[in-house]
Amino acid sequence: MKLNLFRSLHEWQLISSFFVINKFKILKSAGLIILLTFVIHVGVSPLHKINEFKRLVRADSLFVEQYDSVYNHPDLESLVKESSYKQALLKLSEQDSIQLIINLHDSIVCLSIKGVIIHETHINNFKDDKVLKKLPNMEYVKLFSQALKIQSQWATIVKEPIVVRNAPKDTAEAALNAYQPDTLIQKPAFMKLELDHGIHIIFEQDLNPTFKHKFVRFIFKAKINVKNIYKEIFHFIRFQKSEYNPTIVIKMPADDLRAIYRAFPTNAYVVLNINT
Amino acid sequence: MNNLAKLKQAFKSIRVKSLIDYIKYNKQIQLFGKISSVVIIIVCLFLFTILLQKILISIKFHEKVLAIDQQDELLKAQNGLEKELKALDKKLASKTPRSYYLVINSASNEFTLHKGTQTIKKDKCSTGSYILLKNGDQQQWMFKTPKGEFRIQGKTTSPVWKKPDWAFVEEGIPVPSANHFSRFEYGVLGDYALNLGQGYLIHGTLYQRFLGLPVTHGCIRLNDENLELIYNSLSVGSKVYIY
Repeated sequence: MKLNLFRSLHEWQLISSFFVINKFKILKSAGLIILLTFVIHVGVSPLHKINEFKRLVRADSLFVEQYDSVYNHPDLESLVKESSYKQALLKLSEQDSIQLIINLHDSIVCLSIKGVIIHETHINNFKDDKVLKKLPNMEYVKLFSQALKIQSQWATIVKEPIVVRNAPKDTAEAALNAYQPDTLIQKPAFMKLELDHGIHIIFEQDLNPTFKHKFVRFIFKAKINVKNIYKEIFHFIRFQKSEYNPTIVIKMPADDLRAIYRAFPTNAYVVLNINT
Repeated sequence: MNNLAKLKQAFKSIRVKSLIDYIKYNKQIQLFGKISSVVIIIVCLFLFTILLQKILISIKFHEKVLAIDQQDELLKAQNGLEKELKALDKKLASKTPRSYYLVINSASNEFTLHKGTQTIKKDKCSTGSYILLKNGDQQQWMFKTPKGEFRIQGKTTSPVWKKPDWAFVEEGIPVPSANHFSRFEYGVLGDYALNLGQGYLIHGTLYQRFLGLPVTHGCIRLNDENLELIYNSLSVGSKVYIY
């Protein structure tokens, strides 16, 4: 009995000394394993999104019943997607306020009120999302045959460039600040919209001529990336599914970007045509 | 002899110094190596993540091409979709007014006059300055042009401006009584005015050099030529879109 105890003590000492000696090596390998697990956790996130879209379709039994399976044929893809876009536009025209239309097929972004296009701008460059691009026709129709609501939005420019002025005491003071349009200060324009189903749209001004513009772009991008990494780490620590946000990046002239951002209300709708 | 000893000591100290520098340099290299290896690992992991995502997406979406034995069925569906698209296009086209309508861009201070799908004129205008005028804690006015769809509610020639309270507050003048003669100004709104409702007008201006700038109290200012064109083109009930 005593001998056994001594033996186990000796073994324990051996093990503990092994850990003490190889402390750094063990820590390094544990760190690497955690890092690899995190990478796989993030890597499989698009699959969760695809499954989410599939579940969304399956949940709507009426839609599944009405949907003709012939439309899944790849030859009909372009027509099916065009039809969904037009249906969404028609539904959007019932809205009273200003709404946004993003048509990647024709490389245009428009503003519309009640179906009337009031502003149209050409997209100089865009990067579409790999999940949305390869979405099967059935899921595509379910998602994009209606307008998507803007859940949140933020930009590097203000929505309303309000200038607060106090009433002058007399005519002399009034003459001093008469007609000084403060609203002409044009900051670099970058904007992010978060839509239904976790779809994100990032608008960037196409030209960044000065260091200030480049710096603002860097900060804007860094904020997005830090937020995403923080979110992923948070999910990883809590053993939750990682969240994949299909993201479309659009580059357009800064003036058009300002006009668009200032035009639509906070709870506006967006129609997307990703038939590229 | 003494000099030789000094020289030897000096050599020794140089050697020791260079050895210390070497060790320091070596440590710096080691640190640099460690940092760069960490950066390389992170970049590799990032690239691996993207690659993994791409592979998984392509595997997930790698589906068999639907086998349709009868080509007729496909053709029928294609014709059906084309018909549906034509009907949708027709419905969407009917949303655009066929007569004259005006679109105001308050961000770039520009207007566009349309007739159906045709653009008649595009030029500068002036819209709200976004100034929030505060008169103590009691009163405040916001000078911004409202956004949305409007209709022309009335048209007048040689309009007279009845100055509201804020016009006096802004000039630092005491506010007179409601129908005091100093409230009425002639000729400042140009030859024509089109009423959009809620006190907002499309009118002319004496300050033509400010056209293209956000300087108004919410109204839309145009130059004389454009004002006349718009007055003659738009009728009561015509649509005006402001964004």
